[in-house]
Amino acid sequence: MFCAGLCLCVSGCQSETAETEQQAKERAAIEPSDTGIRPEFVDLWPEQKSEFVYRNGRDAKELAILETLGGGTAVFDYDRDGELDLFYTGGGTFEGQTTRGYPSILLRQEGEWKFRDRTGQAGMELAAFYSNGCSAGDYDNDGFQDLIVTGYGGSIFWRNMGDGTFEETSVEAGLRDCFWGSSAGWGDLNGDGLLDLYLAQYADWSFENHPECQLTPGVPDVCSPHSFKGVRDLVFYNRGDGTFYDASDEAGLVPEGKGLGVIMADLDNDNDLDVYVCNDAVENFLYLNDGRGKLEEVGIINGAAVDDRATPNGSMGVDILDYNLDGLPDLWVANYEKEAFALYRNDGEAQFLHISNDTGVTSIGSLFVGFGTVCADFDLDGDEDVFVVNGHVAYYSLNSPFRQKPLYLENRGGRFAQIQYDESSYLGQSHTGRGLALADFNDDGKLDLAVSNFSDPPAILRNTTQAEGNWIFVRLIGARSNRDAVGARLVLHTSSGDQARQVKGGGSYLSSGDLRVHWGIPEGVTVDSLTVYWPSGIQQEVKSLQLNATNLLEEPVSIGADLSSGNP
Amino acid sequence: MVVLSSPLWARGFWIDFLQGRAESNLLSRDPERSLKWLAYAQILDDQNARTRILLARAYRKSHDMEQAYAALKNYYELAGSTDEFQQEQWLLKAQIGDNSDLQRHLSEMLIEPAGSIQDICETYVNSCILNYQFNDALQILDLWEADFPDDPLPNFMRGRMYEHKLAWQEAIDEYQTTLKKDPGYAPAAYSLGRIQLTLKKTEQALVFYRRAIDSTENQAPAKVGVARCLRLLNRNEEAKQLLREVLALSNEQLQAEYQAMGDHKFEALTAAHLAMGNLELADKNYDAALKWLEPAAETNPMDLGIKNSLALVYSRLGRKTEAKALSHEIKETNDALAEIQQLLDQVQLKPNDAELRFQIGRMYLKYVSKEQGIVWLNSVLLYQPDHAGAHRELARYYEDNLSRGESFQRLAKLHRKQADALQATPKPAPSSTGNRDD
Repeated sequence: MFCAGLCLCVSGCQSETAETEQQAKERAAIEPSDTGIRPEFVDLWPEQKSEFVYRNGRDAKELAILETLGGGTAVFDYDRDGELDLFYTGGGTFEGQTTRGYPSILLRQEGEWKFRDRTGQAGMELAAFYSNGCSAGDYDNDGFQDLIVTGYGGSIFWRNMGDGTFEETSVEAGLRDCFWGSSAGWGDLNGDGLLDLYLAQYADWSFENHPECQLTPGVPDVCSPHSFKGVRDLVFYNRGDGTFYDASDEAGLVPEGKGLGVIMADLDNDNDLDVYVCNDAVENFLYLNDGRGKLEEVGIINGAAVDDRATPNGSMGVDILDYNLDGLPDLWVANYEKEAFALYRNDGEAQFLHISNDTGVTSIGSLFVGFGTVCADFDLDGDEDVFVVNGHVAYYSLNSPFRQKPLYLENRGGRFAQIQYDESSYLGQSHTGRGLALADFNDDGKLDLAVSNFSDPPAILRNTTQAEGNWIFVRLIGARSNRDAVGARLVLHTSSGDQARQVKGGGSYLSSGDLRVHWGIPEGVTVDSLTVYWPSGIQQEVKSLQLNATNLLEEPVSIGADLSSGNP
Repeated sequence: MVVLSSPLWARGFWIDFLQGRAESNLLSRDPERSLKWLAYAQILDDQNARTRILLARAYRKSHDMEQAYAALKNYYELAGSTDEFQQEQWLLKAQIGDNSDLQRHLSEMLIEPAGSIQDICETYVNSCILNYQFNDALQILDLWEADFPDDPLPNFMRGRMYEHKLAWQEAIDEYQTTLKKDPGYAPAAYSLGRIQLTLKKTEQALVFYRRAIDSTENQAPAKVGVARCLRLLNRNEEAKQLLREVLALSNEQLQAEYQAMGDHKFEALTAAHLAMGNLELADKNYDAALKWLEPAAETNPMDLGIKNSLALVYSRLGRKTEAKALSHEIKETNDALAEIQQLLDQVQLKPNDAELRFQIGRMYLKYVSKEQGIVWLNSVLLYQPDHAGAHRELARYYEDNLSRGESFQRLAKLHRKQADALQATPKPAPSSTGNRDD
């Protein structure tokens, strides 16, 4: 029998390389919070009665990789009425071998969780490009945050006129030109007190470079990033006269990555703004700043470019947190399926170590395709947890579904456990998550979220957690530093130890959030004082802070100030 | 020793006996013990052709290709080009990746095997895996299992193949079947531990690693696996203690134990070092980490994980120049790996494209694995025997390794001669792909 069968089988010998994808049957643990408090969120988007949806042009059947990125959201108080407002990018489509943009939407909060479409009144109906991301920042230090909208073929820069309207000044400001901008971050890279702009760029897709691809054998689908070359990121330095110049060479940007996410923060505690860029399927970038805007890329030698097997991941969303309360900002990165989400421990001087295995992060399995992500103390228990929105890029994937549930990881003394939700919760349902921004829309100290899905309506997630702790918000107003105070480091001194935070530029994915800095203060813990390290170098000690309120702090005028500040 | 003190008239009997024991050990996949029996047989008669062919087979099974080649050559000098010689020659070639002869003669070999059918199947399947010929390997494994339903090896090898393709569940199923057929089959338990650890199921991984330890004397590989699990459970000191036990073993012992579990010799000489280095790195003991990582990098200079950990340690110790040099290598290798993946996709569509195979071979040779590179370069010559680049690269490789034995010296000469001849007679402009007409 053996030999007879063999004679048939040896007649041909064909090489093959295809890998049959095998879905690992992984099950994440269902565990309650260690405090017994379960973080809960309710989606209030349906109450807004809005028809807005981010559209990616899938119905044009081009199967272009441009369809995969999705859109972002920005949370900012554009009219300074004290209520946080929302902006969502609109996306685009394909017509006759060209791309066309869809309008974005500006939603003004008019109290009690009511958001009204004010796009037209604000003069923001222009849809010049297929849009992806957005980021708010006060580039001219006039107290009104401006907005960059990124996308394929160019950026749109909206200058906030301070009267509830915006003026489109992309060309005049020198911010129009780019190939394909994804995430953008505002921050003062060269220490002149003005916000500069870091624009991550993705890949060299065009209709002239538009191969046919299959991610599942036999089924046409969008291409993977491996089919394209990356495009070099851009840095624009602010001249202070309303214009920017391309400083990519001056800053020392390295050749192309495949940029999807970017965060700007002081990662080595040397009082200047560093940059971390999430790249898709190639090494992530870690740029350390010399304080004058010269960036040195040290991703690999500083341990933040690849995973623990030295493999580059498909990295999308990013945030910083101090998961182990050692005062050093650690990096959190949302990655593609079959890869672990990455937690890089900061061992000092921005030397990072991939420790997802050691901290329970990998126990969630590897089915998620993670995008927007934020780290914050949602349950007021004194440490930062992790929230990620997920969704697949492939329309037809064998490994994990197109729509995926969001992920909540509870920090338990430096190890992370997944909290599971039932189907009645937004977190127990599957979505096409992309953009994500942090906010506290109703000033109750419990952090809410704005989510941008694609092809599905967005979400406004109200935090309804029955948390028993207190909280503190601090809003910094820079004087010598940039007015948004991006790059400031704040250390809250409490009876249970110090807790460090930063005012970050960029972060998450295609999105930007509330600039206020938040701490949860567990019951029984008292707040002693706050130290603020301003980007200008000024160090400020604040002795008195009001609990359960937003504390507004203006930058003192002299170095070494030891000032107490009450509320305005 | 009984054998040595036997009367001369009984020498023939004793040689038969020793050869029989050696063959029996080969059948039970214990080539090291087989070599011991054959050593006694050689003492009795150094010019026995049967002993020589069995030696060649035992050396091949213990992955000592130079010795296998030498023994086979010695057999040829004694017995000439017999069927047995030819079969062993094809198997030897297949074991290092060139399975063209074995493929051509497989049917006849299985109908009239000179040795064990299982050995032929095992060698063929291994060579198919080396050549990414998974379907062919699977076909033979199915037939092998049908004829020898109690043999756990077809399931184990199928598991290895699925694992290679990252098809975790299929691999787990095959390893589990292996254990059902032979509950004491330590390599299967060890492999299950490795997969569970890859899937981040630490507790399950521990169970299988401990089962492997209980089933074999070759415990070092599974102990390193347990140490890795313990680290994930924040039991770093226990992990270090276990690794110290492994690191106290000689290199020869480690190699033997890892090979017994189906792993590569590089793994034997670096796995414990890397695990210990990473533990010290995580504990911020950078000098201690360096002590383990530098020798590991020297032993296996292509291992990206070792390079990465070493780069981090250099950077933290302020040795930035060394760190940056390693980071460039890591970047270059990752770029090459991405390119290799694209080339592998292309060669799947155009399996006869010699030029694609050449590019893959060259990149494997430089960045990933010398052995894999040689396999791919040899496959170029299968499709285009006069490929100058392949001969040149192969010549360079064998010339760089002349000290590894006579076979390397012979192959160096052979490929250099071909490369020089092809260079001296430039061919007309090549066709677009350099395909062989077949």
